[in-house]
Amino acid sequence: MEAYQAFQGGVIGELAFSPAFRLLGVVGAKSDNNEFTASVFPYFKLEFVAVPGIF
Amino acid sequence: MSARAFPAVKVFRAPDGEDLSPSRTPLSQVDELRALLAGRGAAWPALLLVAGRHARASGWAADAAAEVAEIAAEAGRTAVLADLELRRPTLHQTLGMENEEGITDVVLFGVSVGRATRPVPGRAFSFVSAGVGAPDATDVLEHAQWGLVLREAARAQSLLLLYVPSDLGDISELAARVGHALVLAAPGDEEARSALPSACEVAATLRPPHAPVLAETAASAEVSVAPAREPRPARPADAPVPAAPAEGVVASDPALPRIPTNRYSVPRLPRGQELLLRVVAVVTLLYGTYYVAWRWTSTLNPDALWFSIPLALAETWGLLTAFIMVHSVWRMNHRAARQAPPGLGVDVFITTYDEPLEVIRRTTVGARAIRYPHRTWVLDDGKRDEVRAMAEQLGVGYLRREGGEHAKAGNLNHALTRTDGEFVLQLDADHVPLPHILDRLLGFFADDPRLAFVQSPQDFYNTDAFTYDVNEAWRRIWEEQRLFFSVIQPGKDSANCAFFCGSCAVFRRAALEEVGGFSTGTVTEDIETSLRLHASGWRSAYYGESLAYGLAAGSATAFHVQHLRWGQGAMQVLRRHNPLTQDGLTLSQRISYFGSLTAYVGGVQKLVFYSAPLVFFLTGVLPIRAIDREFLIRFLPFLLLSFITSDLVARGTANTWVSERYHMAKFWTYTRAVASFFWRRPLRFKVTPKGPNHVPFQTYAPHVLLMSLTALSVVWATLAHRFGWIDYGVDGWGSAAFRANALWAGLNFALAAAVVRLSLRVRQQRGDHRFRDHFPITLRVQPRAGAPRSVVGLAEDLNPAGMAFQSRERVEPGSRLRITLPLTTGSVQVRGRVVRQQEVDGAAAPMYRAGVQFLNVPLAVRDAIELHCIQHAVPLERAQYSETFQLLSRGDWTRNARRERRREVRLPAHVWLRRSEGRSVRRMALLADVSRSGARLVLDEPVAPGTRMRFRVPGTDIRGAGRAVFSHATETPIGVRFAIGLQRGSRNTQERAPEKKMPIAHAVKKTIPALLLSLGLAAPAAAQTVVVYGGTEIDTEELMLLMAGASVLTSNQGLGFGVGVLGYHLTFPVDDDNTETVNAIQPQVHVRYLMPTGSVQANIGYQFVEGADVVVGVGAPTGAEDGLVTALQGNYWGTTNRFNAEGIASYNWDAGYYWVRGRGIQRIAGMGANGGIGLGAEVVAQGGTVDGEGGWRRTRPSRAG
Repeated sequence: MEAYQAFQGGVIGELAFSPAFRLLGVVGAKSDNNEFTASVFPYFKLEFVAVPGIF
Repeated sequence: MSARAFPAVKVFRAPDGEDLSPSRTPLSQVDELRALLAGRGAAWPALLLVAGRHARASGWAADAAAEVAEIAAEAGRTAVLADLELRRPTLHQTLGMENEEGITDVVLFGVSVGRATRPVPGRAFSFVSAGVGAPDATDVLEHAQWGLVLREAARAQSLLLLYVPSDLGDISELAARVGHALVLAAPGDEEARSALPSACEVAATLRPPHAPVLAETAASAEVSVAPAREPRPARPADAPVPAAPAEGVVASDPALPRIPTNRYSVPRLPRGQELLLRVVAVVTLLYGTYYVAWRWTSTLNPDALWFSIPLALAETWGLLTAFIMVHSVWRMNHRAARQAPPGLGVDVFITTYDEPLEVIRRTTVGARAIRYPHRTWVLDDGKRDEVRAMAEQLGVGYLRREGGEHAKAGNLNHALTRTDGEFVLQLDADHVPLPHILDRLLGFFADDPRLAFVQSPQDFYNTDAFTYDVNEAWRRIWEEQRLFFSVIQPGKDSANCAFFCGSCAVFRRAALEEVGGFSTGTVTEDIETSLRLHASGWRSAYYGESLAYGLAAGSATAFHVQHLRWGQGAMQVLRRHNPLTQDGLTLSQRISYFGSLTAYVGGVQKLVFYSAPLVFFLTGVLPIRAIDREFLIRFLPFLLLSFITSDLVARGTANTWVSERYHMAKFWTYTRAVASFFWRRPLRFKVTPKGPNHVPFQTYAPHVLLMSLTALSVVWATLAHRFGWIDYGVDGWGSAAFRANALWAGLNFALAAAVVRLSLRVRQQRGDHRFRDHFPITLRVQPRAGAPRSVVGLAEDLNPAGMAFQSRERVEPGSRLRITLPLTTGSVQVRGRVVRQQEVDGAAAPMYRAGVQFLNVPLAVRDAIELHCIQHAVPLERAQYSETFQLLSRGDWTRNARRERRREVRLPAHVWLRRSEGRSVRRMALLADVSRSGARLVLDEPVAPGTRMRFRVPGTDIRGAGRAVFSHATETPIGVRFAIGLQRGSRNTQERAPEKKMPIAHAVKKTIPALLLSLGLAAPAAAQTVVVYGGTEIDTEELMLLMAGASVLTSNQGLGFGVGVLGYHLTFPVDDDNTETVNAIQPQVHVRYLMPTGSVQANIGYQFVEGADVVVGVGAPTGAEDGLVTALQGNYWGTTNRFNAEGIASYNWDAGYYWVRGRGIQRIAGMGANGGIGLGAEVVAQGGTVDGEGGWRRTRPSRAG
């Protein structure tokens, strides 16, 4: 049995248009390893959250 | 159908009408085969040639294999025939070649295919022999290295033909990897086909002429055979040998062209990422257009138009350059190198004016060593007799002209009148070429008769220069022109706009002659010459592999002199040949040239930006009506999008902060250059560099001024507001205007300070560059007093004037040394004197570092050191660094097979290798690191896995013994070094992956722009009863997650319940060739405790997975196995909606997979109705356990077949 772990963390920028509708941008670093690997690299993502049902 | 005959090799060698023996004539109906290889098989990187026993016994199979390679070459493929007849190789004899470094070395020792490949004289294909070792065939056939080999072949767009006996062993795994085979079967070879698994398609079965044709399955084509009749047509290789080389010509040795693994530096992203960055770029440009329009219509300050308009213009200019940039790099041309046709006439020009003699000599020695036959010329505008003497000594041509009109362009044009080569390679005096530069660049001309020139990148060896930013800890390297050569030029190339950059380019003489030679009208002859060639309908190409290393601007002074000249030249070209009005250019070329020539206006733009906060603080005048919420909610997204886009389109080569620092460094020089467009008098950079350590104040005066003014203005504004000297119209430091301007000014101050510090950075005191290279050496030391003794040391750096080494022994300054240097160019002996010595902390033991000055180095030794340094040490060192950065890149990926703490040693060691006959041989090695159970050694030769070996570091108690477990090659154009993994103790050896650095191209592929439309985990409002969420994630490893879910929850405060369902679709790579797909659906029940300020919720679900045999699936929050999934989530949104925190932890009990995420966001600006701008942070952890041999995506590897 081999353990696998990955971590990431970053700074989020948020642009919210209403309580239910917002755009998130994340810039940060990510690490990844399994039984042979270990690496660290920056990551970037955009996240969009929409929750209908509250309108 | 014209049946073309392919005679056997021996007939080819004597094409004088000799009758062909029917039994040896391999194939004649080749058209089907050619159609197959040019059609369906055109994209195959490899093809198995499975030879039956009888087919081999008659010698027919070997001939047939050679002919298949010939046909593939004729069909336009770069064909490489590799001999996998490992037990008793004969194919090399058939081709008249030697069996030397070969496919065994490629597979077992990591040597690249390029290095092991040798052209077959007189044939259109290349050959990789079996290799001289006698390995276990199974080790070779089933080695994981094939994945890399096949990818390398695919990347090089070549066709690797693997000639393998059907009875070599179990070939099914290799056959499944390759996927396509030709069977070479004589009567009695019926078993040949059955050696192949179903995963390998038999594309055709070839039989010797009088073999009966057997029925085949419908899937395979049958190539029948008829006797050969026509003689083989002549090909260029058959043409008479050119006349004997004249003076200065170095004939190439056909055995030499061993071109190493291509270090192509143009990043290539997966299609999904390219799409993503284009979407983001378009969004940015659209938003930018809206923002700039809004700025002009709604924000100009009517009371201060003198300040308001320049700032708006500067922003508009920024938007225009963004349009041009996105246009330039919308798509990039990734050219694969083409085989250089033989027999072309090439002149290599080295232009010199006043460069130091040792710099010119280094370049000339490098140019002389170019492998493709050529003639080298030194074009000496400095008219120095010592340069003439050097040229004569090195046996290269020397040209000197009367006068010095038109500087470099005039010098080149004069040389064009005195030489006659069909092609011209232009090198600046400091650009030392690698030996395969012409092999790489000449092939492009064969494809395109209107191709005027091919440019390659300008790369540099002095990485301590002003333009370099080297991060030793992360092993990353960045150069100011990196974006241009890795992204912008390939982008320009895609629209036939790549331009000549003054060095490292090959020209077609006819093209130059048609436009009257190199342009002389401006000080930048390169861009003007390119523009005129493009306007005359010629084409250009850019090939992104570093093929020469030069000297970058070492000091800030040299940097500014260079950029001022480029800027002034651009302004001259703009005046003389405005690309917007110049006849003959395409629209893309107009935009591209306009963008390049006006890039210097960026200096004025930056000047305006840097001045803006100063003007506000000093005068109270705002360039806009107000810095308020209306402004910020429009401006901040623009700023953020601009940064994101510029990083994205740079495809991982950008480094925003460092780039901004160089923008700061250049702004005043660029502004001066732009001024020369209006004031036509020539500008001079009035500085007199006094040696490399002197940095004149003018170099960084603008930045000191900016820093001083910034500091003063802040103090002034504080006082002026407090005492009412100036009406700022806002509430001092409590206002957004003050704070925003202070932030802006602070950023400028920091950038300017960084530039001043960089400018003052004292360079190495040595006159010439020392090349870093670590290898063990032996020295004979004659101390000033006492008896001579032998010392083992480790070289640290080297050049023809001296070196530095470390040793466990003290070597007194003044001692005389005799050093044996094991260079890749051959072992040489030098004499030297120790001039410095100091104690240093070695990683394992105290060490002494000695600086050595060489004495009376013979010229031949000097040149050997030069070649070793440039063609081996520099590429070797650069291979240790990653050149991609930031958002899109993932620099390195190390594998630690030993999974324990390693101690870096870096000491010279004696190594004893046990040979099969029981005796040991001793070698010198570099001991890189040791750990409890293993060690890593660097040797100049491979060591077969399983070999018993022991090592000892002289002068220490570091020693060990064990077996070699891997041998991994690092190659350069002229040499190869092997990292040997040693497993200590007597445990059985087990093939483990070597520690290695991922190739850059591969690293770039691992980049991760992830677009995550996801997870309604946090609803910062209290009353929802229905939650619907969904999204997608795209990842660098080509993982894709589609996720959707819905829940219905009671909406009462306090305890509530709900039910929901969550589903996802996940695709991800299992290994290099296979992708897996998982679909999961998970009904859930929820228990929630709802409060006015937040909620806590528990979910219990059961997941049903359909798809792969996957243990855990990283990327999917709930794992990738059937089973019970529980999750706990908490959300806090408080009472003001200004801060929210979210956390979720899920666990898949059957996969043992957990996923935890925490996130907090603080609203920093409100937009009304609960909208606004927030800032925050998040942390995610995920993991699981894998049984068996878990792959990188935590899966059980699925084996085809």
